[in-house]
Amino acid sequence: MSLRRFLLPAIGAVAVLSASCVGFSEPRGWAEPVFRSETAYVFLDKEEFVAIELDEFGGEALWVFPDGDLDSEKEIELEAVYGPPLFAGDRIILAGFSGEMVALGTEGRFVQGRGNWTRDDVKGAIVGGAVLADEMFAFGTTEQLLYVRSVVDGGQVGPWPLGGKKLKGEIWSQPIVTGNHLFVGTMAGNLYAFDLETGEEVWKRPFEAGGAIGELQDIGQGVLFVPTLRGEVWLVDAEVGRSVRGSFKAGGWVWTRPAVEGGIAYFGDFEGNVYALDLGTGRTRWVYEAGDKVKAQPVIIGGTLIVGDEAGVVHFVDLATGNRRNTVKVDGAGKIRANLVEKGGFAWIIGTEGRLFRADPETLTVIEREVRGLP
Amino acid sequence: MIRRVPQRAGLGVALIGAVALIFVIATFGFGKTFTVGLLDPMINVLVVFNHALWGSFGLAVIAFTILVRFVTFPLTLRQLQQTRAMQSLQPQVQEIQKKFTDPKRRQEETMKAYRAAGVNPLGCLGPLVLQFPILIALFYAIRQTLAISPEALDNLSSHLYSWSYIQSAIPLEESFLGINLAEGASINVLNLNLLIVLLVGFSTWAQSKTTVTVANDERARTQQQMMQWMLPIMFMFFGLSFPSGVSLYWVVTSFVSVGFNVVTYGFPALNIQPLVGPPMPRVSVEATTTVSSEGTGESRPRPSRELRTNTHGSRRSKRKNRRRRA
Repeated sequence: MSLRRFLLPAIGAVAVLSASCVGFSEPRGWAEPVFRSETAYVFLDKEEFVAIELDEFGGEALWVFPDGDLDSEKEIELEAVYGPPLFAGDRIILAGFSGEMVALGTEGRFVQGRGNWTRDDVKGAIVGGAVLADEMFAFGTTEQLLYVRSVVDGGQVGPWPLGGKKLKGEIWSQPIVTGNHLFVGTMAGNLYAFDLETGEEVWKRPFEAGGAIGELQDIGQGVLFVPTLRGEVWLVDAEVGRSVRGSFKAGGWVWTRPAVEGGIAYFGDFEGNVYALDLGTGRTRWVYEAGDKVKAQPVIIGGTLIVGDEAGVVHFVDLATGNRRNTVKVDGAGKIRANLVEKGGFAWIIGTEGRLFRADPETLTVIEREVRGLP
Repeated sequence: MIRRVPQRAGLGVALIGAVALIFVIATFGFGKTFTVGLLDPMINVLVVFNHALWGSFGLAVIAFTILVRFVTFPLTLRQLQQTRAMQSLQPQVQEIQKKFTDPKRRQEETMKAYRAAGVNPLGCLGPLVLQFPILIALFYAIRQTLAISPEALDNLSSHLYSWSYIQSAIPLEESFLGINLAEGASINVLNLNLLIVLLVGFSTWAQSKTTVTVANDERARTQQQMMQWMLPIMFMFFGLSFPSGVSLYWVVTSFVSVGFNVVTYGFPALNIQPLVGPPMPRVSVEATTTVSSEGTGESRPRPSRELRTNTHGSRRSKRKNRRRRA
């Protein structure tokens, strides 16, 4: 009876505690695997970056970064990584959600002094990852800042301010570089083009996509693929910053990159549809129903489009007709959000559970590749 | 006299509601019912508010919290009035406790007194239980809508309706008056996020301070006093670890509660009288007679006077009360 007056606060306390038990989508990252020769570089856990020497059965871990036993790596907190690692000469550059940038040697150890690479001088979280442009690399943050830094020491280059260039809207997509131009999309729906040498804007004004731009891709012939969270897809002329034709309207958010072949872009949306969009006419050749959100970029191998959805299902789709060839529910994969990558005639898949899988377009199967030698 | 909904009609409505709810939960499952029935509408209304209020998520949280609290005000009011009615019967209850040593008899007599006054001891729990899922959903909706990580934004997409007005509002602006609503506070960093944690503590304390208590003895009162300080500290601790948007919700909901408390109970320390007509319990002859006939034989009708804790209102001991009555 005496505690009745505290029932309402107690309800609040229960709510807070239950929420903490549930966990609200903590950042885990969705960096895609990168292959160089026979070595795969993957994030198996949110902060566990592993180099794997591939073999017939899976692979042997060559090294794991960071190594908690090393003083130099103890305090590194990437938190989560969403963009692929950059390979610049003998360095591997990682950009973390925490805003921390680190440079590793090819043996997987932290090589830079913490000076210019720490998150202290990067404001905001890095979601889209960085892009390489000669001796520079560029990335955006959730504080609406675009950074262009030196690959050598992370310091200032050319006219680009060390503290970043303020744009309108948070930057969640990985910038792209074509020629001497740097393109950046923002969550406010603006697409910017900058001259890398002068730092000046190339277009008279940014292209307005009307919805948040979560991904961006150069699809060749001077055209940029610009999807939005409003479900529109724009094809933008990279020279002048105008739409090639009107936008294509998908059924849900488009937060992915397309696989492009033969003038057709293949991509999914958050309503679970996969589209084959004819870039010449702007019309869809076919629509395939995956059934769950498609965040990961699909891959094309032979005549098969391989798509991974957030239910952890891998779809093998006939490229010409859009007919289902097979679907495989990958147990233990979690959600498939990281882009699929083609290597050796297979599609490589990393799920949110941090396990590596290989999809075979010949046998239409998916098998796990065991990583040995992990600590 | 308490103005009550006829018990049978109220019971019938509650029964139909309960059966309908059980049917829906049995068909779709609790999780789906909660998500589709409460969480999704709340998230979408929050996004609409955000869009309508100049893209300010802070204003959206404030406006939406106030709206929800006012929509559920009839439930809150019923709960507050029941508590008040219970509280005003305390002199009678204390009298019964003094007169009867047998716990069973004591309980029977107490219940009889409550019944005679038209008070249901569990009456204040019903509205609370009804509010519980609404408050939980509001809390979850704010956390979901803030999308503090790319994964959270991905998850948010599952909750949004496909209306263009809503879709174009995503993502939401996290900054409000210099406070980053998506981030928590740290005691090592002096910023406005820390201020909102202090406000969490203050508003929780103010809420406790303005609530009428139902305390039978000194031990209970001591407990209450302790809780009055413990709760704000506890909530400030929570506020440090959760996004400031959630803390903002807590501050607003607490201040709204303070307002409701003052409207319903008044605030004697500032000489503020209750604005809402109090449905005071009927101190029936039956009740007082029952007490006296089973006790010492004295027939002493008790005035229906409120007893407040020493947090506000008069501080009068039992002995002084007895002396005063005599």
